[in-house]
Amino acid sequence: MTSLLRVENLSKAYLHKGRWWAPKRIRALNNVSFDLESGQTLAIMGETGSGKSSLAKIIAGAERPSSGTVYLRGEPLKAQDYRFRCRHIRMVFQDTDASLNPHLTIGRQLEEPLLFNTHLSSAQRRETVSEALLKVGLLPEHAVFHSHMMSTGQKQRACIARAIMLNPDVIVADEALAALDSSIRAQIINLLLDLQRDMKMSYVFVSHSPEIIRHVADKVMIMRHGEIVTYEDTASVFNKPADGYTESLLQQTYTLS
Amino acid sequence: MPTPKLYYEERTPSPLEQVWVQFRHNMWAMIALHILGAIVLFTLFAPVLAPYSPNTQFTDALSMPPAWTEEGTIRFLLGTDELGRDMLSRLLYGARLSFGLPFLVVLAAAAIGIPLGALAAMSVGVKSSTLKHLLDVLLSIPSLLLALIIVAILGPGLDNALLAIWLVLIPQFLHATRNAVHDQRHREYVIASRLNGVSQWYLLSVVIFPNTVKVLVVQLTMALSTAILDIAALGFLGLGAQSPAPEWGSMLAKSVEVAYSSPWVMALPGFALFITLVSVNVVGDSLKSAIDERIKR
Repeated sequence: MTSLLRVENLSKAYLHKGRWWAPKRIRALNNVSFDLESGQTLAIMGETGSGKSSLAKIIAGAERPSSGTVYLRGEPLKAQDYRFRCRHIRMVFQDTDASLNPHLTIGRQLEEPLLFNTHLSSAQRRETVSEALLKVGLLPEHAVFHSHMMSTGQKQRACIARAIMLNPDVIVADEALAALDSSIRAQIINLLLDLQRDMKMSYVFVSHSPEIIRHVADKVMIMRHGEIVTYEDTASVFNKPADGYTESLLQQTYTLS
Repeated sequence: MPTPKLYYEERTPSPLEQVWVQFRHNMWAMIALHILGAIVLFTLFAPVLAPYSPNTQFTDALSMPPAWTEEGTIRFLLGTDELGRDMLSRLLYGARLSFGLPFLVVLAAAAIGIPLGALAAMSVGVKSSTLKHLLDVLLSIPSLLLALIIVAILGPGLDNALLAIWLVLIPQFLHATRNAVHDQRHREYVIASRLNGVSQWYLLSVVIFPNTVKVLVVQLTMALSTAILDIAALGFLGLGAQSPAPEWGSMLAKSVEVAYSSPWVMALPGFALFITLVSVNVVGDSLKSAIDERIKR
């Protein structure tokens, strides 16, 4: 059986404007490969600049890889083919304020994926939007709200509603929990776990917090300098960290939080 | 099960209505808006409102002061100039040249500049950056100077002055739109919309464009005041509207000779110009802060 998500030799280099004939090349990812099974949760950890965000963005399609391919059930995903990708892989961003359009109502924004990827009538679309809002613990009435009328937790719920709109297989969350305070964070984690149970989705979490990872993840990937240091089951990573870097990463955040 | 209609009773105002609500609370903005409305009325209905034709000369009433002075008569409410032409009629007709024409020029420049700017922002690479740097160079030259050069090439006259101002304003619109759209392109909600699989046209017109309205409103009002000022300045220098035309700038220029004997001939067009410019700027500024306020709440 082919795995749900397979990443092969993914590399990403950013060009920084130096002198124009010799732009500086910064390697964010270096030949990263891994598999993810359906229904599993992968957590990506690493120090700042280790390439974890780049990896998440490339999987979600927000960035193009310099080389390498992402396969979904054995099918390669093209970097610019948003229509196909968005039916299977969706993203939740870190900054809830910035990821909702201040000029459109929540309903209009949730409708977008339906408008362009399904043939539903406007009444059916509205129905689907209110179902999704109920699923994430909001009311159908929130569809007519603008994002500035909602609290941070509600905004994050709306973002999650947008992500589950097309019943995706994978949701990529790039530090989606970092900006929330602890009580809301707990609510959102429980919401995500409930959704995973109901909709059989896989998650790719980028996170700093070992507690959350221990709670939600099946597998943990530790990254450093754009390469995978460890890719193992959560229990074994936490019980006997393979090296000093992993240990300090888990340790350090323990003492901070 | 019927869904509870808790919030539907109280309709959420649309973004435009919210801006209007904000705008209405600002007293100065409303005063300026009313003045602007009056000027628009003068522009549209000058032939109905004006008591005389702007170029009729009353030889029995040369340099008649305004009606409220002792020598004035009610026949000429704002007096007459040295050739016996009614000042009120000239000012009303002048609104067409000094406010109406710049307004049309700004609309025409926006119609060209905004789509081109959006196009420039959505494209990447050498073409886009060449355009940007060329525009930056062009914008570093003051608009009046550029208009003067164009008029110098084409020759003086109102048509050429309008053409020159149109040409000067297009790059300003292009630049402002390009920057505004470019600034939006890498916002997270735009990326999120792109990940929703939306079309380029939808992305530009529904997702990005409403967020650039603030910049465009500011640009439109700034362009309008620039156009009004430049038309007047070119008229004053004798390069724009030519003498019998009741354009406020050229009226000012003519009045210099009689500034001491009949000061109202100079004061009235100057005052009209001043009021128009201030109203345009106040309305634009208040609109901008009203839009700001709406997003903040």
